[in-house]
Amino acid sequence: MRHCWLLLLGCLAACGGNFSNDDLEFLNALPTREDLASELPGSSGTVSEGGLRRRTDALAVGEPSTLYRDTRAASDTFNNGMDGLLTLLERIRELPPTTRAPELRVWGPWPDPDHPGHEVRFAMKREPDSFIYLLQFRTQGTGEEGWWSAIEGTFQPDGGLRKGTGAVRILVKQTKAHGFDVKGLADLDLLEIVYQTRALPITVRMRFVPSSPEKASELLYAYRELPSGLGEMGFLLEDTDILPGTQKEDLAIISRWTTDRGGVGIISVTGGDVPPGFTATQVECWDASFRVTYLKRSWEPAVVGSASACPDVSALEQP
Amino acid sequence: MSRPSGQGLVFVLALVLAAAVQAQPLRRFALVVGNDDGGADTRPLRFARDDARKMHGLLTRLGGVEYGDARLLLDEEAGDFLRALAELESSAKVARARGERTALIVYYSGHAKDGALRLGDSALDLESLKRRLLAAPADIRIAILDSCRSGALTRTKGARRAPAFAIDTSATREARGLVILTSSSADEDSQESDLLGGSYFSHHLGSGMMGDADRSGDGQVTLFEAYSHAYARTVADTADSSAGAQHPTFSYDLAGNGDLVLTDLRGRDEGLLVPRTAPAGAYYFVNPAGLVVAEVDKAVDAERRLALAPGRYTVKRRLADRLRVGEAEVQRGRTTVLDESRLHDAPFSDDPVKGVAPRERALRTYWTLGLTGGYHSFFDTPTRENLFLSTPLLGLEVGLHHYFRENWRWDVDLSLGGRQATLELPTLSGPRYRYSLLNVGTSLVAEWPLGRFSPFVGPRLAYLVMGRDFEDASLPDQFYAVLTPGLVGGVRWRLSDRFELTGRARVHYLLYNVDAQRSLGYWELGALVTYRL
Repeated sequence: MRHCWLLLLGCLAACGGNFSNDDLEFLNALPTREDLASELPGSSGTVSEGGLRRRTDALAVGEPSTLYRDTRAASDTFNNGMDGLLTLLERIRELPPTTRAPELRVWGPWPDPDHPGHEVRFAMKREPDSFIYLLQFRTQGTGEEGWWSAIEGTFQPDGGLRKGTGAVRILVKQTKAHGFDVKGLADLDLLEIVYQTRALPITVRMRFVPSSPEKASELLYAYRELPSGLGEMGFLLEDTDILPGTQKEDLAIISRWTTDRGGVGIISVTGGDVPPGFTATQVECWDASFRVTYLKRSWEPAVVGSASACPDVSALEQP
Repeated sequence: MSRPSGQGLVFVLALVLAAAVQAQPLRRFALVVGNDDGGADTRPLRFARDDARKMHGLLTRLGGVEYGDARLLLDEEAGDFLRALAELESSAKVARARGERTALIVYYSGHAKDGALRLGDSALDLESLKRRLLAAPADIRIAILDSCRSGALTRTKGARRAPAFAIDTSATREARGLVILTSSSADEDSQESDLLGGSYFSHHLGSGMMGDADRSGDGQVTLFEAYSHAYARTVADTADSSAGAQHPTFSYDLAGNGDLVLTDLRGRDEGLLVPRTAPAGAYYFVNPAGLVVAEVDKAVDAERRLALAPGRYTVKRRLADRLRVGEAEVQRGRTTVLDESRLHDAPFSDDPVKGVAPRERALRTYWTLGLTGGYHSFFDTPTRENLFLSTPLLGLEVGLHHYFRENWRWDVDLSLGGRQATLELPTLSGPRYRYSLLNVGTSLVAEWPLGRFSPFVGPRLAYLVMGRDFEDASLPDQFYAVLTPGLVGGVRWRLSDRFELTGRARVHYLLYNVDAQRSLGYWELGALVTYRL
């Protein structure tokens, strides 16, 4: 009989769990790495330092594609910008909420090991049509009014698994103001990510807002992906000195790639030292080994390779 | 129905039996039947078969029944009873045709209920049997029925809480040549004794037939002597029992000449002699198993002879403050004279009568192992569609029967269920997942046996672990574990001695407290095939 009681007590102790439909809906509002990260074929280790800004001489067919390297670098910058956020969200997913209310989930607060003397919490609130979430910190011992936000995000669900429209703002300026080390984001005031996974192609736009506009320009990244594996990354860098001369130009690059047949990159430079009304363009194609198969610059008559060697990425030409 | 008073009965029987002078040898046929099992709604007896064996031995050894003219049926059905009776009737008819005087003795030890003998699941109507015996082709027919109702402290025989079968104790003109002895009156229980290892009535009847009933000292035990001995001893032994005193009955209609001698001890050297010089008192003869096989109530200056079968016996004589105990061996074909000097004093704690270990209950404890299949579902529609899904179950079950109490069953069960499903929530639909259910439970149910069917109902406590594993790695695997009280009810159907089929329903309460505190209910339907271990 004693064993029966012990067994019963054991069962009582083992009661409970995390079986919750609401938890799933809350978690569904958080973006995943799979949703947001750029998936460019090839290893990031092949990208050379500063490739986007390096001026190059004419390439020959079979040489490594510099535009692919620049795209690779842009992709890594893009992914690195979100890495901290996505890592945080992955940790949140692994933990059951600390507080559950009908329209609220809170993880924490816990002491923040990276910032002694501070506490951290992640809170999510359900609105009629959307979810709002905040990563917040406070100095230990302060009350509810002591919380300040380092990340804020929203998501409008569209019914499916992580289907919807979302935005995340990493509030770098406020975070720095509280004395926190923001590591690779130190030159920024804000990193804003807007994405939609409601319909194909999935799109992600990222805006890097520098803390000193006079020293750095605002960067815009846009990423699209089709289920067939076709991907596109566009980035815009305004007021940057990319051509010989004293004036600053606007640089736009659109790279489109396939999973196994290489890609196409188009560089457009306007303004600055580029004559008014003229756009300097460079079209470059690369194969599955990321080597140049075609190169055409608008300001040079010579053509390297053949345009027929470029892969078909016309599916991405739809807006 | 009335039971003759003691003195009146003695007078009437004395007149009848004294007039019955046996003129020529009597060929005796005996049908001896014992059945511990009375079928549905009766408790198994312990000693009915043993009593039948002993009576069969006595009749063939001392009662003048040739071995080939005796039938011993143990745990047989009513049909077997009637077939064996027909065989003996046929033999008696042949003997009678040859001019032999014949007697047919029918002894039955077992259950009776509602005017019928109960032999396992079959029944033999008493009135039909009586008519059959009345018409039997034998000069004398004797029916000895040791059956009736049950008691509490000492186990009783027969059916419970139903009118006792009626034995007609009135003589009728048509019932000539028929004697019926019963172990108890119409509304009494017949009782068994663990110390005797048999029923009181059969024990004293048998002991009397071995010589204890020979009041006349002529070496013959007549039917009347045996009955009156068994009557007196049975009443005395059962007077203080919780079931109350048991009064055997005697019904007779004998006509013509001749006395009915049940056992004839004359000319039989084999046995034990308590000499005239031995102290008066009650002597008990105990076999090596610790059971009293015969008793002798010796008077002063009287010599008593007991036709004990060859074997070694412990002799016990009870005094006011102690026992006198000794050993005696009866050898084949020889008379052993009890030597008082070989008895020694012994405290009551050294009583050689050990009896049979009391059985705590008539129904024996046993285990069953079963394979179960069923279906599990919640009453609340949204819950069963999107939270805890309806699912089929497969499992194992162990049952312990009649352990805590008769007709109580303790079950421990384990079952598993699961299915593939798609999540459909207001803001999230489409993710595929595997829903699984582990169901461990224990229940204690009371059963009401009705023949092969036993309805049952009782409380159950289950421990449920429900889980879902999503194919998409971004959604966490979830589980919920909880104790759920409930009720279980159903019907158990005995297919054979070993296999049973059970249909059952369960209803449980479940407290869910993750998203919000909610009281939920679920049901389970199932079928179970069990094997009796």
